[in-house]
Amino acid sequence: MSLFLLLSVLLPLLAAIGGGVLRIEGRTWGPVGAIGSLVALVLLVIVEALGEREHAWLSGPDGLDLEHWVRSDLLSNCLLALVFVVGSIVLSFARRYLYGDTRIDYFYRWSSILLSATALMSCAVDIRLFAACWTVSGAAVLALLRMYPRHPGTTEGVKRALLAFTFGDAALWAGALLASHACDGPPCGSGPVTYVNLSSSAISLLLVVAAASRCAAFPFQWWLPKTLASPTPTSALLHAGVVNAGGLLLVRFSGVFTASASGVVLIYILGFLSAIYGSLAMRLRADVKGSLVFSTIAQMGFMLMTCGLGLYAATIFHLVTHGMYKSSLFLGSGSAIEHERRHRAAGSNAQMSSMARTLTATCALFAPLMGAAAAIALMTSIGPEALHPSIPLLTFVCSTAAWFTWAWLKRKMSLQRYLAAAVVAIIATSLYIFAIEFFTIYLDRDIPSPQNAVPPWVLIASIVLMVLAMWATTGTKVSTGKFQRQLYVWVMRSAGTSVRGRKIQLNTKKFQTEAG
Amino acid sequence: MDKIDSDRTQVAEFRANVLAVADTVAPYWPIDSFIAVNPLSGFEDQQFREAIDSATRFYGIRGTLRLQDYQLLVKSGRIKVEDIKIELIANKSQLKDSSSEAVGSLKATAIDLALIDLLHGPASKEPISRSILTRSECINKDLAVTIDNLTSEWCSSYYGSAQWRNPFSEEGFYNAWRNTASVDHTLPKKVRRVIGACHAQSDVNALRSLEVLRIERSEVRDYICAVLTRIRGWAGYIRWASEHGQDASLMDLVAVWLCYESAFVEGDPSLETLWRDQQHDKHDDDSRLLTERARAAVQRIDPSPSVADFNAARRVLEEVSELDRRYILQLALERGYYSELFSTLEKGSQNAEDNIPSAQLVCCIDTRTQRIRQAVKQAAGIETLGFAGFFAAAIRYRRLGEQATSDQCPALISPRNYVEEKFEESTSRAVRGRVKSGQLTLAAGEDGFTNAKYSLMPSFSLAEISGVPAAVLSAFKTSLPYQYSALRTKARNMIRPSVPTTVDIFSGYTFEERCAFAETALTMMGLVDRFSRLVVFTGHGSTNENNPYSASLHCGACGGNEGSPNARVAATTLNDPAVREFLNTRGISIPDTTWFLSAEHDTTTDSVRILDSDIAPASFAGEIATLMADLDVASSIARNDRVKDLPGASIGRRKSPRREVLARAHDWAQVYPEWGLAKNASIIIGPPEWTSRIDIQPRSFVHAYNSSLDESGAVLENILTAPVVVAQWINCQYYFSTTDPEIFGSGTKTVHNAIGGVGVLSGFEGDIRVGLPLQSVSDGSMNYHEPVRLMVVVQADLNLTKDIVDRNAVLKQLVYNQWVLFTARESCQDEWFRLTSSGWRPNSYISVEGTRK
Repeated sequence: MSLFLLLSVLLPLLAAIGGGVLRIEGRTWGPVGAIGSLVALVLLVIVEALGEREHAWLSGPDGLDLEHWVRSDLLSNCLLALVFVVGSIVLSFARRYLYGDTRIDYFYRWSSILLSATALMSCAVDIRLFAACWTVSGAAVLALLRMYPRHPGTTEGVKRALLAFTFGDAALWAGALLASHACDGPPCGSGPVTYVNLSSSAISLLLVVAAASRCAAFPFQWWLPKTLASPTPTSALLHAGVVNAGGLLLVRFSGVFTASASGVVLIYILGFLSAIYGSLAMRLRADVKGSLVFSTIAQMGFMLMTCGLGLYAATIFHLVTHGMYKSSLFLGSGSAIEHERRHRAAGSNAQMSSMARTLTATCALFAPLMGAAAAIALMTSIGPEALHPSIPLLTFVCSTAAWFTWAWLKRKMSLQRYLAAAVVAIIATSLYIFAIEFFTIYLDRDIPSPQNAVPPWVLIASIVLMVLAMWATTGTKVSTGKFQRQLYVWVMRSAGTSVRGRKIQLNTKKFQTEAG
Repeated sequence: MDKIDSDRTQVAEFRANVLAVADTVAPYWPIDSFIAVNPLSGFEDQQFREAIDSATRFYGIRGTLRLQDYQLLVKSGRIKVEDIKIELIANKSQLKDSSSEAVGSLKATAIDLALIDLLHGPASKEPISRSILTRSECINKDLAVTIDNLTSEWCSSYYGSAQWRNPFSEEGFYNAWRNTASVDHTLPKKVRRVIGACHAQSDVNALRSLEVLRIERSEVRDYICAVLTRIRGWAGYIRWASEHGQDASLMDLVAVWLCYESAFVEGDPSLETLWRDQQHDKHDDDSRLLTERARAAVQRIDPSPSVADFNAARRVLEEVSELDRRYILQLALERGYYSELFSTLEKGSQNAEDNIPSAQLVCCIDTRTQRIRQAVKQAAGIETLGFAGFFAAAIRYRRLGEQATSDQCPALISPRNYVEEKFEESTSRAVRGRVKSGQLTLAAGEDGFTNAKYSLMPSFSLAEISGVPAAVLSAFKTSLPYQYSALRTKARNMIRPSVPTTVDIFSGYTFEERCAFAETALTMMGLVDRFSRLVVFTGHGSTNENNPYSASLHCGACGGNEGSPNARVAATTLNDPAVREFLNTRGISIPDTTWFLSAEHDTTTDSVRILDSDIAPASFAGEIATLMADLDVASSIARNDRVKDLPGASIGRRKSPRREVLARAHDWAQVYPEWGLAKNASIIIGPPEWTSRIDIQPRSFVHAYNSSLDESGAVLENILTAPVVVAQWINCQYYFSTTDPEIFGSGTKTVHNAIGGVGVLSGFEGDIRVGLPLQSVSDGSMNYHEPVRLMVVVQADLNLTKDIVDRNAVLKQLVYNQWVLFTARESCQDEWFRLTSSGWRPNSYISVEGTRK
C-alpha cells in the first residue's frame, strides 16, 4: 500500500522530470501529474475501503518497510484530497492563465515539486521525513515567488519569505532532531511520546515556532503579504496548501506538541492575535488580493486556535475547506471590478427606522441560536460524551449565520424571507456541528484528542475581544471615535507598505563625478 | 505685512505652476469605464518626435519599439528595406547630400552605411531612464519608492472602497493624511515630527517643502512634473476625479509627496550640492555605443578596415542618434502599412448602386466590426454603414431594477438624456413582482455572503461552509467554462426571470428632443434616403469573465459599456410615427415599409443578436427571419477568420471555432478573451458605397460620410472633432502600451491586484497601473499590436477639410504635430493629398507604385 501511495504522491514530480528530460512544454504535462495523483488516490481509497490491504504489488517487495515513513490514514487522506483537488484546478487554470508567459515552464516545474513535497509531507509519519518535505516545499515556494525576478516587489517578497522560512525550518529541524534524540526513536505519528531526558517544553515550543512561521501567524505575519508579486496561480497554491503545513505539523505530531501545556497555550494566543490582526487588516485593505492575504492570516490564526483547543477535527476541517475556499477566491480575484460594479448597481438599502433595525437584528440573531440549540439537542441525544468541547465553535458558526441573515433581511424584511433564512441557518448550523462531531469520532482513531489545556477564562476573554473588535470596526456610519482612529492608523500602517531607505545612503561616487 | 503679501503671491504663483503642469499626466478614467487616453496628451503641443524626446526626460519611455524588435520585423518582411531607405533619406538630408560619395575608402555611401547600421547595428544596452529626477531619487532610490508606496497607499485607503471605511475621510485628502501620518508608528520619529508640524494648507506646506529641498524657482515646474510622473496612476485618477466634479486636487497629492520627501531628507548635506542631470555618464555610454555601431557597420563592408575609414564611418553614424535609428525604423514600419492601405483604397472605384439592399446595418466604427461588415456584405449583399457606436444618443442609462446609472456616450461629451429600461407594457403584475423580488433575492444573497466574508468572526465558519462547494464550482468552471456559465445563467433566470423590456425614451426626451436627435442622427449617418426595408443599429459589447479590463473591450463610444441600449434608443425613436412625420417635414421621408431594428454584436464570439424583434409589425417577420439567418452565416465567416489569430486557440476536429470562442468568452482563466482594438492603424471616412466595396482589414475604423450631402461641412467637422479624436486616443493608448508596456501599459495581467472602482496594482503595493495590460497587445512571445500612428483618410472637399482642421485647435495640433497623419481626396477619380503644416502635398505613400505606373 505504502509504495503505491508513495508513487502516487510523487506523480507530479515525475511528470516534471519527464517533461524536463523530453523537453516537452509545461502546458502539455503541467496539469497531468496533479490530476493523475488525484485519480490514483481515489483508487487507493476505494481499494482500502474494500479491505484489500495486503496486496504485494501495492506495498512493494518484502523488506521495503515504508510503513514507518508514510502512512495513509484519515488525516493524510484529507490533506491529499486538498492538495490534489486544488492542485489540479490551479494547474489546469494556469494553462490558459499563463499562456504566452515566458516563465510558464518554470511555474510548472516548481509548482509540481511543491505539490509532491506537500503531498508527501501530508502522509509522512516520521518527523525527519516530514521536516525534509517541509524544507523542500519551502524552497519550491521561494522559487515560485521568484518567477518574475524583475518585478519591483519580488526581491522583498522573497527576502521576507526566506527569513521566515529560515527561522521556521531551523526550529523544526532542531525540534525534530531533539525529539528523535530524546525519545526512544524518532517520533512517529501522533502517539504520546516518552521523553528520556530533555525538556518537553523546549521541543514543543520549537514546533510552535515552526508552525507559526509557515502559517504566517503572529509574530511571522510580515512575510505573506509581500508575496503578491508572483502570479495569481502561485498565490492560490500558497494560500491553499503551503500555509496549512503549520496546522498539519501540530496535529500530526500532537504527541510531541502537547507534551507541554505552555506550547499549547502559546499557539492558542498566537492564533488569536493573528485572527484579530488579519481580520482587521482584511477589512481595511481596498485591494482585493491584499484583502485576501490578510484574510488568510486571520483564517490561519483561527485554525491554530482550534489546534490549541485540541479540536483537531475542526483544525483539519478548517484547513481543508479554507484551502479550497481561498484558492477559488484568488483565482477569481479578477472579478473584483465587476463585483464592485454589481454592488453599486444593486444600490444601497432603503433607510430603516431604528425600530425596524432592532427587529431585524433580533430576528437575525434568533435564527442561528435556534440552530445551535437544535445542534446541541442532537448531540446530547447521541450521548452526553458527544457534547464535545466544540461548543466554542458554535459561537463562530452562529455569528456567520446571524451576519448572513442580517444582510439578507436588510434588503427586504418579510416573514417569508425570514423563514427561508431561518430554515437555512438552522440546517447549516446543525449540519456543521454534526459534521465536525462525526469527523472527530473518526479522527480519534488515528489522532486522539488531548485534554483541553487552554484555561476557560482565556477562551472567554478572546471571544469577547473578538466581538469588541468586530463592533469597533463595523457600522454604517463612519466610526470616528478616537480609539477607532488610532486603531485604523495602526492597522493600516502595520499591514501596509514598509518604510525602506530610511537611512540616507549617499552615493558618494556619483557626487564626486558631478562635483568634478 | 510685506512678508505675508510676498508669501501670498508665492503661493498663488505656485498654484498656477501646479495647474500648468497638471497636463504632464493624462487623466485616468476608473477602470470600469476605461476610456482610452493618449498617455502623452499633455505633450501634444509638440511634434510627435519631440514629444517622445521630452517625455523621455520625465518618464524614461522609449516611445518606439526596441531596435531589436524592428530588426526582427525587417527579417520577417514586415518592414521593407526600401521603405527604410526612403525614410532615411527623407529624415537625414545631411547624409543624402553626400550620398554619391563613398565614405573614406569604403565601397559604400553614407546612406548605405546608415542603412547597414539600422539593419544590423547593435542596440544600446543601457536601459532608458528619466533625466529629470526628484531629490530623493538622487539620494536613495529606495527612499523614493517608499514615498511613492506610502502616497499610493494613502490614496487607496482614501479613494478605494474598503469594508472598514477610512474614519478620517471627512477631513479631506490632505488634512486626513496629516492626521494619520503624524501618528504613523512605522515612520522615523524625525519624519513624524515634521509631518506633525505641517501647515494646514496643502499649497503653503508644499511650498515649504520645496524650500527644504532647495528647489530653485526656475526649477519648480520641472520638479512638480518629476513628482507627478512618479505617481502617474493616482495623479491621473485625481485629475479625472477633479475634472468630474469630485473633491480631489492634484495640489494635495503633490503636497503629500513633497512633505514625505522633505521630512525624510531634511538636513541632508547632499541637498546643498549642485544638482544636474546625469549627462556626463550618459555621454560616455553614447560614445561607447557609437564606436560599437561604427565597428559593426564597417566590418560588414570591409572585414579589415583602416582606422581612417572607421573614423569616417563613426562621423557618419554620429548623425543618426539612438532615437533617430528607432524613429526611422518606426517610420518605415508605418510607411509599409500606409502603402498597403492606399493600394487597397485605390482598388475601390465608386459607382452608386441604384438598387436598394434588403437591409442596412449601421455598425460602430470600431475596427472589430470590419470583419462582420465584410462578411454580411459578401454573404447577403447587405449594406453597412459605419458610425460612432452610440448612434448619436448621448444617454445616461439605467438598467431594469438597478440603482446605478451608466453614461453611454463618448468621453468627449456629457450625457444629455436620462433613459430607463422598463417592463414592456404588456407585462403582467405578477411577472413584474417576480422580477423585482428575484432581483432583491440575488442582491440580498450577495450582500449576505460579502457581509460574512469581510467580518471578523463570521468569516471563519463561512470559509468552512463554502469551501467544498467552492472547489466543486472551480473545477467545473475550469474544465467546462461555457457549460458552467450557461448553468449559472439558467439558475439566475430561475430566481429572476428575464422578461422583455423597452427603453423609455418618452420620459427622458421631450418630443422636440426626440425629433432633433432623430434628424441629427440620420443626417450625420448620411442616411436620408434609400432606406431599406430593415435598418439595423448594431451596438457592440464583449463577453468575458474574471477580467478587470472588461470595459476596455466594450464600446468606447458608449463610455466603455455595451452599445445595445443606445441602439435600442435610436431604433425606438425612429420607429415612432410622430417623429417620422416630423422628419418628413424636414425632407427626410422614411417609407412606411421601413422598420428600424436594434442588435448587439458580441465581439468575443462574433454573434449578432437582434433585439426587440417581437415588437416589429408582423409584416416584417419574414424579412427579420431571413436577416437573422444571414447574420448567422456572416458571424461564422467572421469568426472563422478571426479565431486564427487568437492565442492558444485549439481548433481541430473536435472543437469548432464557435465552441472555441464560446469557451473563451466564459472562461475565468482566459487572459486573452479577444484582441480588442489591437492593430488599429487608420480611420477611413468616406461614402459607404466606396468603403464597402474594398477589402478593408480590421485595422481601420470606418466612418460613413457623404460629402455631397454636407455642403456646409458641419457633419465632417463633427466627425473630425469627435470620432477621429477618440480614434487617436485609442490609437495612442495601444501605441504606447506596446512600446512601453511597463510605463504606459499595465504590465502582465497575472500579478494584477484590483481595487474596486479604481484600477489595478501590480502586486501588493505601488501606484495604480495605467494603460493596457501586456495581454492586450502581445501574446507573450511577440507583439500582436503593431504600433502605427493613426492614418486619417477622408474623401471630401480639400479646402473645406483644411478649414475645419485649421479652426479646431485640438485637431490642428494632432495633424500638424503628426500625432495623426491626414490624407484626403475629393472624389474617387482624384489623387490623394496629405495635409502637412505647409498645406496639401501629394501623398508620398503611393508614390512608389504611382511612379511605376
